[in-house]
Order: sequence, then structure tokens, then C-alpha cells
Amino acid sequence: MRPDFTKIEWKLPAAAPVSRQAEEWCSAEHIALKSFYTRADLAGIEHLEYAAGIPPYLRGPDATMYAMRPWTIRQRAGFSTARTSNAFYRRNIAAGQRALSVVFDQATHRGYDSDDERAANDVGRAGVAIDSILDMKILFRRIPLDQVSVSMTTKGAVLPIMALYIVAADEQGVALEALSGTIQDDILKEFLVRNANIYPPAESMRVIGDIFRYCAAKMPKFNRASISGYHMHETGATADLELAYTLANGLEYLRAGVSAGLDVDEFAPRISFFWGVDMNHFMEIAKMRAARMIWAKLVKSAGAKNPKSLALRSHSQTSEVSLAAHDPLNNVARICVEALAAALGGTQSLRTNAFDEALTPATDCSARNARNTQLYLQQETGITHVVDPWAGSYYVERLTHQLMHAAWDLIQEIERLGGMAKAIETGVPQIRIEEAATRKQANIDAGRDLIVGVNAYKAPVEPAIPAVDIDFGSVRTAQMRRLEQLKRERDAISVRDALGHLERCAATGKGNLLECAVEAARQRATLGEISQALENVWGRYEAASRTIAGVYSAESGNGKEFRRALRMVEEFEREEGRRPRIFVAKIGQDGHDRGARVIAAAFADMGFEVDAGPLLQTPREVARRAMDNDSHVVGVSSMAGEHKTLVPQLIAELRAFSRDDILVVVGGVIPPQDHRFLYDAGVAGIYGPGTVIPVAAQKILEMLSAAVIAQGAPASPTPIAGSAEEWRSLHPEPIATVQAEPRSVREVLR
Amino acid sequence: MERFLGEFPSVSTAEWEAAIAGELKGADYDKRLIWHSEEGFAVKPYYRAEDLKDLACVDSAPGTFPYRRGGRSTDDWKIREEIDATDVESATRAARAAIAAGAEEIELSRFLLERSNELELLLANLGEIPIHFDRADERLFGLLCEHLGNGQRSARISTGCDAINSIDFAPEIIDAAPKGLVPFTIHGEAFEEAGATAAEEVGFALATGVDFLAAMQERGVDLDRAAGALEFSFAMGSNFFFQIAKLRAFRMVWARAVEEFGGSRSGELARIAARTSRWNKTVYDPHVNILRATTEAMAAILGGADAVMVSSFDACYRQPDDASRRLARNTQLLLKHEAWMGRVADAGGGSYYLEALTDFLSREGWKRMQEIERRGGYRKARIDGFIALALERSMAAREKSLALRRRVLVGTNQFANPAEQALGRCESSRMSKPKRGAQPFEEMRLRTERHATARKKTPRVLLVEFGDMKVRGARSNFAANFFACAGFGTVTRRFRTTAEIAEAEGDLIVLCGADAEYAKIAARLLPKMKALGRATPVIAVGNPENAKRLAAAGIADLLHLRCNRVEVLTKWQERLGIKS
Ligand code: B12
Repeated sequence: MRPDFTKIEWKLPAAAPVSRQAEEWCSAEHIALKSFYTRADLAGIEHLEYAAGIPPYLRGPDATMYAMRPWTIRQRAGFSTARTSNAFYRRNIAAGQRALSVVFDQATHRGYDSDDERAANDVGRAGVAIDSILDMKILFRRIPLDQVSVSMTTKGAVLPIMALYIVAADEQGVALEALSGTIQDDILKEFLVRNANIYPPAESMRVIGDIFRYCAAKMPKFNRASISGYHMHETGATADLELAYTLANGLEYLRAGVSAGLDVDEFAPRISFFWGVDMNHFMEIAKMRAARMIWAKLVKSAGAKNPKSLALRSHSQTSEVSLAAHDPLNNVARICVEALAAALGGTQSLRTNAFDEALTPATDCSARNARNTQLYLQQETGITHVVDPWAGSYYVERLTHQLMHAAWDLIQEIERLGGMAKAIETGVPQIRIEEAATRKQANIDAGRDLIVGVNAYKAPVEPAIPAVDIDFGSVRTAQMRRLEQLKRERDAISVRDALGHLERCAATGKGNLLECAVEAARQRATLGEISQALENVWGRYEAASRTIAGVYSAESGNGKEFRRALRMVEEFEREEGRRPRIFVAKIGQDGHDRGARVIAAAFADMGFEVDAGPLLQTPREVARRAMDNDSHVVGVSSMAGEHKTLVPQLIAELRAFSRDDILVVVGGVIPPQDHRFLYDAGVAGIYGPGTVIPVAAQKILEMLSAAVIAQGAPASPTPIAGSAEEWRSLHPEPIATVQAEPRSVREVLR
Repeated sequence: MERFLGEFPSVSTAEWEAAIAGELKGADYDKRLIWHSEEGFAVKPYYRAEDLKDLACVDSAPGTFPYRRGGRSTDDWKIREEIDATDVESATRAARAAIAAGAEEIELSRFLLERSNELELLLANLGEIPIHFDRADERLFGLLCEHLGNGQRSARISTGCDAINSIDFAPEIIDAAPKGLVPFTIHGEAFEEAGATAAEEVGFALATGVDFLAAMQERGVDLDRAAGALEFSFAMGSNFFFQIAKLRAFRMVWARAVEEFGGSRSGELARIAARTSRWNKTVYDPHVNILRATTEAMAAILGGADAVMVSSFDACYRQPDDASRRLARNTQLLLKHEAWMGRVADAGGGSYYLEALTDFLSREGWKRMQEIERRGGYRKARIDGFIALALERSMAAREKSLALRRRVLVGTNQFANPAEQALGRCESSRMSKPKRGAQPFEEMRLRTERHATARKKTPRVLLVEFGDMKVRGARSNFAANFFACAGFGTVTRRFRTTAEIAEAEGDLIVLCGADAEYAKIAARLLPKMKALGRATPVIAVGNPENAKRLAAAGIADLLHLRCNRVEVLTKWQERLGIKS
């Protein structure tokens, strides 16, 4: 009989009891997770009855969150010159953007003017070069600084950059108190992971204190610190580490502020955070929720009275490490998944990456797509209408709880070491991050973590990516010309006085560093000069190098390729009388050391003798050291484009000493169109993103044995796998342009 | 034990409301914070535990009745891939390639098996891979019964054969169907593509199923076997949480309905195949389709779909090639292996918002089904036009909201890229089926493109900015956005005198400034243009309240937020002679 549904009203069916047991699995954070969750999993969770807009802000810093106003779309621009950046900002402002974000080149961050020899490879690379007020004024020309919020990432050179920005605004006629934006002067993370610090930790913290004081008095709408977990995340930190160390850094800044004589409530509301958002979707959402509660707890314990001080506001960026250089259109979906997590986690602003960024700075096409990702999420998915929509989910709430406690334990560890500035000196937090990075690499190499297009589900033909190739040489020449002009036109005596004043301020501890720097900038002192004045007193900091042992093999030791590499090393040792020795080197101002460290750790575990060089070396220093160590191979990890200038120099140095028997191999971000150039320059092997480390080691060992044979006997005619020869045999014709490749991504998108 | 967060007391709803009132600063709560969805749900700005007080079954676990939380407790979803080859050999080849690259189920959408050896070839090649034949007839069923009868193959075979249209021969097929054959589908996605809201999709699919079960029962078919003969297919749109809730709600109402029929627990579980919606995909800015498909696939997974199919981003305008198919497949592989979406069943279960939505959609869905039952069941309601009328109404509302830009398609009716050209890559045969929301906009833009190719010149709109920076900027921006929807190029300029404006190049002149100044400027500008013998229309961006006054001053049109973009732009195309 057909039931008479017109008479059967809807009622909730009674649920059957939970009978099955959930399976358990373990996340990268070593957090135990289950295959399903029920209400029972909420037992013991304290935070369920918290809200948004009210401490401890579990569900967001604002009571209405995106229901009133969605997050700010904040894309980053890393153009080489002030002029091109300015044009880009003005286009975006015309298109409705009210916030802009400035990225500086590495030379600027490290306090070098463009005419400095040490910065020769880095001027205008991956960011805008700023030497003086002339550049800063061009950067913000016809941009109403009282209406547009400016976010600047600054590192070692925060003082001159802030000073130049303030003077530029002043000369535009904008009052200091009208300036709004964020300055990301989170120097502790430079020591932890990013490596663009200049001065030692204690002095760097003094700079922070002085900036706090200055802004509190004169620039109330400016967020002084954006404390970054993003960079830790990109260096390999898992969610718990990112959470803990970022907040521990925040705690250290709170203390710096207090000891600078400020009231917590005066400056805590101006501190904001910066998260990296990766692919483990719910983990990232939980991370952002947990962060808000821990921060509220920390700020409260620092004595804050104003509830606003306890609110954690954040900018987020989708993870760049999660982007693959292989089959790069897959990244479109990755970025979307990550951006969605950032939004559902409650970020206040967001930057989405461009899908080709593992290979090249973004192109117009990929940048549009990156921005559309956020527009799509805001305008088509309906997710903005409800605050913290996943709240209540048994899984998300449990994860938030677990992550909060895991991070808290790590914060306690830092506290026991005396706070972050001291902990950095012990190396403990750095090693934990490095360990996580090494484990991740080992899992990828062993095929336990699958990366679509990289170690699984590969594209049969790699689509070609139109790469952006900028003529950095001409950028540098133009910068140098403007520096000359500046120096011609300024009053040398007042510059000298202002710099002398700054130096005294640094030496005596009396006066405000930023105030002195502003005066120097006003007198037309350059960024390099201001930095140098401080360096005269404080010196430059050099981080100790270290290698971790046993982590890679613990994760990967059973792998076939790993065991094969081990055997080959043993064989090599039997024949040669000593183990193969590799010098893992970083040259230029490139501070990306994650890859180099992972390589060093893995090669050591495979039985190589490994020398891990310090960062920021010159080609000559590297060559010397390789000879002194009697290395068989120099492995350069090149991430910032130095492969085209500094690697050939390194080879020339070795040749000059008749040590071209030392093989030079290169890894890192090397666009395919540069391979021929490098092989022609004498590079023996190239191992780019996606390299399975034991396989690279095997190829290097094969070359080494071949080289040994070649010294005694006639060269073997068979090409060596993974070497220049092999590459040439596969690429008989030079690739003139990228367009000559089978299909470009742009075509696919059409 | 001391509480970790002991320093923070619980927050009451009254406190939260007070904080909200503070942020509203006197603005209207309902206008600013309540979202009235097309399903008729008034979505609140937040949900808390108290919103679930009466929902007892939220307590349940995945894999148990009433299946709100999914049919499985550990296993994850299957990646289904559509193969549209028309002959068995190329279909087999394509299917094998897809499987090797990560596909887990195959849908054959374009061909019908004819001969026994074709089926053998397929089965031999696809091993233990589930297969879905989108089209099916009696001949196919015959072949399947014959070949699957020996029970050697355990993987499912299903077909897209419409359950309700097959009622007459269904008993026979169900009776003969070997284990593993699911002969019929109830097509929720057909409702979606015809305009149905999420509530209607749930209700209409439910009513269809109820009618089918009733018919089978009447014909003496065992109820569990009848229910087991069905697969449900749904199209996932971009409204993230509603779409997740839709699948959860459907499983629950279905379980309840089957229970009323007297089915057993196993018969009560609906098996759902979800696909990314086709209605919202766009020809322009097609990579946004990748983004849409990504969240739509996520919604399907979080909603507990058993199989998910992601269409290629370019399927709406050309024959997808290997690269675009790979991208579609990889979207799911990423979700599985990198985002770990399959690791936790019903990850959203317990979410106050999602559970409240699920509850709403099940109530609404049930109500729609009751309405149809009152008319004597789905088949009768279809014949008497009730279904079609409801769908038409919903579709018209959707189309209107797109034209008025209350609903956005990024790159089509908002943030369009005027430099983008699509004419060259479109295969017109693929663009019209099934109906898509972007079509009226695309037709306009293609018209402009064709016109531009023929005349070797794109129509240019001159945006004249004056007055206060904020106002003029917002308005010229609005206008640029507006005209980009029809593929018009815009140039934004400021002038010192009206004489300069009169001489400036442009097929249309748009004044972007303060309302109060328009009449004044028109009074000076229009005579100067006339003196130059120029008939270029002058329009303005402003408040519609001033329309009459400005029309009297010679302003040819007034653009504003509530304009129907399709109508206004089509009108201006015609006036500028863009017709083809
Ligand atoms: C992580 C990362 C960072 C981290 C670095 C942390 C650290 N301490 O290392 C942070 C966030 C701090 C960072 C900062 C910056 N970054 Co960065 N960063 C990356 C990113 C996302 C991943 C690099 C990485 O570590 N991958 C993981 C490791 C394990 O892989 P890998 O290094 O490639 O190594 C593998 C292989 O290459 C090979 N390999 C590498 N070296 C060697 C050596 C040998 C001997 C062998 C055999 C093999 C080998 O084996 C490894 C295993 O497979 C890349 C983009 C990308 N997806 O690659 C950008 C990227 C390198 N960064 C870039 C830029 C611009 C910057 C900044 C300048 C941004 C800014 N303006 O602030 C700063 C500069 C920092 C500095 N001090 O120099 C650019 C460089 C552009 C260019 N080449 O012109 C890139 C390419 C991103 C982009 N498209 O814009 N970055």
C-alpha cells in the first residue's frame, strides 16, 4: 500500500546507536585522528560556548565577521622597480582595491644599496629595489596614502624602510596619524626561518621596541607588527609548530613592548598575524581557531585589560610550498582549497598565489586567476553569510582542541628556554622545524605522501610555462644612476650629521632609533647608509650552521632507492678509500635554506660526508671551502635566480685553481629554459623541484665513479644518467623560446 | 581539574547579540545580516549549539540510519570519470587511460552497447571498476543480465535509465537483475538544470522515488529490491553549505520514506552520484570553472556522495582534451591525497549551521514531496504541468537575479575581462546544451566580438570622470564593469572643459561624477557636440530617482545598481548597430 504521505508529517527519524569503532590515523602534527567523529568526541572540550567578537574570540575577532564585510583581498606585487610597482598599484586602486602590499628585493631587506657589490645578483629580483627617498616617492606617486592601507614586509632593514615611507608620506603632505597599514617587522622569524636579519637578536629586538614606541605616539592607525607563521609554515613547520612559535614570537614582542615602557593595551590591538594555509583543509581551519584562543590567553596573562587587545587578527596566504612545478594547472585547485580554508578559518585578509609561482613570478594570466579565486569564494559560494560555519562539527571542534593543547605544550617548551629570543640561540625551535621539513621530504620521496603530478599521477607531457624573465642588469644600472643623482644633489654635511646621530643613538641606547632614521632619510641618506650606521655599532649576525641526523633515514630508510644509494656509497668507499664528500652551498643573498638543509640531512643519512656551508657566501668563498674540504661535489641549492650569474662564477673560480675535477651540481628553482645555459657553463647535473633525493644521490655517485674512471682510463662513451650528457641527448636542439614547447598553460586555459 | 581557558567565561547569545548591535552601528539587522536564500531560508549570521536543541539524530554516526551523516563510516568516495567516446574500442581505451591516471569509476555517456562481444571487451578491460552507462535500453539490460549472471564480477554496474519513464518494464528488469546491477537512476540534476532550488531538487527527487516505489509495490516487486535498483544523481552548485546539506537531507528523507513503505535498513540507504553543476559554468574566464568545480566537488564529498564526477572546465564550449580532462580528474585526486578529504566521514557533522540547513532542507524537501503526493504522485504532477511550472518559476528567478547581478558569475556578469576573446575557441554545438545561466551574457559578448571582427574595431566607451574622487572612481569603475559584461572596451579620462569631451573619441560617452552636476554638464556638452555634428549618445551613472530630470536634460540613459544588465546592454548594442 502506498503510504499516505500527505498525512505523514516530517519528523526526525530516531538515530540508530553508534555501534562501529572508528579507525585511527595520525597527522603530520602527530595528532591522532579518527575516521569519523560523533557527539561523544566533544567530551572534555571547554571552548564550545565561545562566540565571535568577544574574548577569547574562538569564532572570529569580529562579532559579525564576513556577514557585514568579507575579508580583504590583498594580492602582493613584487615588481622590480618603483615605477612598475606604482603603475600596478594604481591599476588596482582604480579597480577598487583599497589596500596594497609592497614586497622588497633581498638587497633592500639586507640593507644594501643597489650599487653594493654584495647585492649585485639581487637588485630588483622578486621585489622592488629601494635605495632612497627618490625611489620611495616614485613608489607611492599619486597614491593617496591617507586613503590606501599599505602593507610592507620588512626584515633586517625595517628602520630605513619605515623612515623612507614616513618621509615620502610627509613630502606628499599626508599627516603621520592618517597613515594606515601594517608593517611586518617580525624579526624573530628571520632568525628562525627566513634569514634576512642583519643584526643580532637582542639589538633587533631593540629596534622593534623603538618602532613600537614611535608608532604608538604618532601613527595610531598603523599596525606595527605582523607576526608571521607563514614563513615557518613554508620552511616546513607543521600546524602545531607554526601555531606555537608564531604565538611565542608574539609573546616576546609583547614583552618587548612592555619593557619599552608601553602599556599592553596601547599596542597589543595593533599587532596582527600572518598564517600560511596549506592543503590539510580542516587542520588549517582548526589552526586559525585555536590560535585566537591561545593568543587571547597570552595577552590576558600579559596584563591586558581591554578586550580588544586580546583579539587576534590575521592575514593569510595560500601555501607556496604546496604548489607544484609539475603540471602547474593543478595548483589552481590547490589554491582554491587553501583559500577556502583561510576563509572558513576566519582570516581578515588573504593573498592567493598564482598557479605558476613554483616556477616563475606570476604572469598576468595567473595573477588574474589568483584574484578571481577570492572573488569567486566571496561572491558565488555563499560562505560569507555565516560566522565560523564549521563551529560545532565534532571533527573541527576536536581538532581545534587537540591543536590548541599541542601548541601550548610547545610554547611551554620555549618558555622554559627563556622565551623565543633565547630559544633561538639554543637552536631548539629551528631544529624542530627542520625535522618536520626533513620528515615531509622523506615521506614524499618514499611515496607515502602523494603529490599529484609530482610523485603520483604525473602528466605524460609537462605543459610549458611562460616564464617571466626580467632584465635585472638594467634595473641595477637605473638604480645606480638614481643613487648618483641623489648623492650629487644632497647636502653631504647634514647627511653625515644625521647618520652620526643615528649611530650614537644605537651605541648609547638613548633616543629613538626610528626618529633618528627618519631624520637621516629626510636628509637624503640612503637605505644602505642608514643600515651601515647601525652595523658600525652592532655588527652583522651570522647564524651557526647545523645538520640533523637520522630523521630522513627514520622515515625513508626502508625505501628501495634509499637502500640502493646506501649500497652505492659503500661501494664508492671501498674503491676510493673514503666516503663521497659533498659540500652543500648557498651563494648570494638567497636565504632559502630549507632545500639545502633537507639535502644535507638526507645525504648525510645516506652515508655521504656532508659540509653544510653558511648562508650568503660569495662564489670565491664557496670554491675555497670546497677545495679546503677536498669535496668531490659542490651542490648549490639555488632558489632566487643566482644560477645564471653566480654558479658560472663558481665554476670559473674552481677552474682558475685547476680544480674542475670537483663536480658542480645545482638544485632548486631552475626554469627548464635555463638548463642548456647551465650545462654549457659546466654544471654536471640539475636537480629541480620534485627531485627524489636518493635518486639524485645515485646519479651523482654514478658521475663521480665515471669521473674517477675518466681520470685513469679513456672516457666511457655511454652517457651518464642525469647528467649534462643525458640532457643533451634528450634535447638536441636549443629551445629558443618557451612558446616552442608543445603546449603552454595559457593555451590550455583558453 | 583547572580549566585551561578558565579565565574566559562562556558567552551568552545575548552578549553576542549585543556585540553585533555594536558593530551594526544602528544599521538594520535584517537588511545587513540576514540572508534570504532562494530556497526561502532566512540564514542567520551565526549558529550555536542551541540551534540544534531539537535535532536528536544529529547524534548519529556515519554509516548508520538515518544516514544523514552518510552511508559509509570509513570508506571514501569514488572518483567517477565521464568517457564520451561513441564506439566501444575508443571508449575502452579512454577508460583504461583514465583508470591508470586515477579514475575509480567510469561513466560511458555517449554510446549504447549493441553486441555481446562489446560488453565482453569492456568488462575484460575494466576489471573491477564500477561502470555507469548513462544511456540504457532493454537490449543493454539483456546483455548485462546475461553477462553478470555468473556473479564473477563484483563491481557495480549502474545505468542512467530514468526510473520513472521505465515503470512498465522495471519489474521485469528488477526481477532479472543480477547482483551488482543497479538498473535505474533518479535524476536530481535534471531538476537542477531546469531551475530547481536545492529544496526543490530534494523534494522532486524524493517524490520521484516515492512514486517509483509505490508503482513497484503495486506490481508486487519486493520493496528492498525496488529501492536497491535506484541510484540518485545530483548536480552540485556553488552554494557551498547548501549543497552539502542537500545531499545529507536527501539521504535522510529517503530513508524515512522507505521506512514508511516498510523497507529494511539496507533498502533505506540512498546511493548518490554527484556531478559538478553545468548550469553555472561560463565560456568567458573559463578557469573560474576550475574553481567552481573544486568547491562543488568538495561539497559533494562533504555531503557524502558515493561517486563524484567533475566536468572539465572547458566542457561548456569545446570538446575537452586530455589536458583538461586530466585537470578535472586531478581536482579530485588532490582532494583525496593532499587535502585528505576522504579520511574523515562526514567531517562537517555536528556543525550548527550545516545541521540547521540539513534540517531545513529535509523539512522543505518533505513538504514539496507531500505537495506532489497530494496531486496523486509525481507522474500525475508532471502531466498536469505542476512540476514544469514550479521549475519555470525558479529558473526565471535565477535568470533575473543574474541579470540584476544579485547573483554573480565572476568574469561574466561581474569583473568581466573586456580584453578576453572567446569566439575563436567556441564550438557552438556545445554551448547550448544544457541550458546555462551565463548564456544571455555570452551571447552579448559574442555579438560584440563578431561585430568587432567584421569592423576591425571594438566599440569603445568613454568614461568621463569629474568631481569628488571617491564618487567618480566608484562610478567609473561601476561603468567599466558594466560595459565589460558586453565586451565593450572602456577608456577612463578626465577633462578640463566640456569642449574637450565633445571632441574626445568614443562610441558612447558615460558621465561619472555626482548626480547634481549631470544636468549642468549635459547642458554645456550636448550643444557643443551638436555643433561638431556628433550624435554620440551621452549617458550617466547615478541614482535612478533622477532619471526623469536627466532624461529631460538630454541624458540618453542612466546606469545604476538595479539595472537589468542584459536588457540595458542589449539595447545599447542595438543602438550602436551591433546586431549579428
Ligand atoms: C619555502 C619558500 C620560502 C621560505 C624559505 C624558508 C627557508 N628558510 O628556506 C620563505 C617563506 C621564508 C621564503 C621567502 C622568500 N622567497 Co621563497 N619560496 C619558497 C618556496 C615556496 C619553496 C622552496 C622550498 O623550500 N621547497 C621545498 C624544498 C625541499 O624544495 P627545493 O628547495 O626545491 O629542493 C628540492 C629540489 O629543488 C632539489 N634540490 C634543491 N637543492 C638541491 C641541492 C642539491 C645538491 C641537490 C642534489 C638537489 C637539490 O631537491 C629538493 C628535494 O626535492 C619557493 C617556490 C617553490 N614552490 O619552489 C619560493 C621561491 C623560491 N621564493 C621566492 C621568493 C621571491 C622569496 C622572497 C624573496 C619573497 C619576498 N620578497 O619576501 C623571500 C626571500 C627569502 C630570503 N631570505 O632569501 C621565489 C624566487 C623567484 C625567483 N627564482 O626569481 C620563489 C621561486 C617563489 C616565486 N615564484 O615567487 N620563501
